[in-house]
Amino acid sequence: MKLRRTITEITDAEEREAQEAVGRLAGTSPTHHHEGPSETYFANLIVRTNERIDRASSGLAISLSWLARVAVPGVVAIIFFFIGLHYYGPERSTPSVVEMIGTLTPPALDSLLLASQADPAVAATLQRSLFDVSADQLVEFYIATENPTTVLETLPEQQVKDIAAILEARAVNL
Amino acid sequence: MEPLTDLELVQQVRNGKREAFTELMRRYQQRVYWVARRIVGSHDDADDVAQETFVKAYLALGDFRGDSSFFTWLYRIAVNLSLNVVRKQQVMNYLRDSPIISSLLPARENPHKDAELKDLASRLQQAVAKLPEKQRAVFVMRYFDEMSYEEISKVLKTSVGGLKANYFHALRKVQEFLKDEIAPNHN
Repeated sequence: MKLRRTITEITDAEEREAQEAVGRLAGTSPTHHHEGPSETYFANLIVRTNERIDRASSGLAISLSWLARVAVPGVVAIIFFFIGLHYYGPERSTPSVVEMIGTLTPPALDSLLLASQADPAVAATLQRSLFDVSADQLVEFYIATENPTTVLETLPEQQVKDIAAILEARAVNL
Repeated sequence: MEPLTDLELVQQVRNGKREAFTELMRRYQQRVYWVARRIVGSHDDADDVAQETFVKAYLALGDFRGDSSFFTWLYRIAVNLSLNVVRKQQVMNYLRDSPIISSLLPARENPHKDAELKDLASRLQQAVAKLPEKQRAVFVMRYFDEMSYEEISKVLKTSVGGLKANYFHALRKVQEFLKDEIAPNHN
């Protein structure tokens, strides 16, 4: 059986040696930044971040943003997985995403939501405003933001609306 | 005139002076960007994490109690957000491995990501991307940012001993990856 070395066995010299070996193999110094962005980028980053702060400063925006970008896509991604499993099952028809979410128990749904929870440092802020939105607002916000990366793009608007309604109704413990 | 300390700037933000937060962003945006970039691997994701880090910090500034330095607190947010991105990448990659699931998903999030990783991030970045998330975070902070274990401990809220072990194992894995990468070229 291969045993892991205990913490106390690792000396500073060994660590330094391993670190230098990595540096030699990589051919770069640790602080070397590969083709990093320009100073213009960082100046622009401040402007864009300030704009984002403006948008996020209202409680409504925080809720909508979190729901649309984190909670709903996170749940849907996992549900797609369940649909895939179902598809392989014998003599089973493929349920819709909405049906699948509808069958989850509240604790299971809460677990899914918590799995995609935001940073604990701002959890208190989020909790104050989470789900204080209607399904219509969520859909409008989602469509307006046109996030190109989410799996929600594959869903019809009505399904997004239905999912949002279920999340609103059930995820009361967050 | 002496520049204001971070805590003085934080106090000004709390008193409604938004420009003070811009100054804090100016001070730390590069470090926030680079720790995110090292952990998530791509510029686009790092850009998003950097922005989100400052947004979250701004919104949660009222909860900042000063138990740790502002930078440590900010850095913790950046690392946690970066690890969230990594987890999502792993879930999406896992889902994409299934032909049925992948047919339900939209096209790859960022078609340039693989090429970017190859072109920009070097073999070392590829090696880092193979590490488990905790080791990845520790490696980035220790190797690239040259942070002390005490500083990392404050960010990750983990014991120094555990961090040392994490870092050493990460170094070993990175070494092995790099050796494997180099070996075929020498044959």
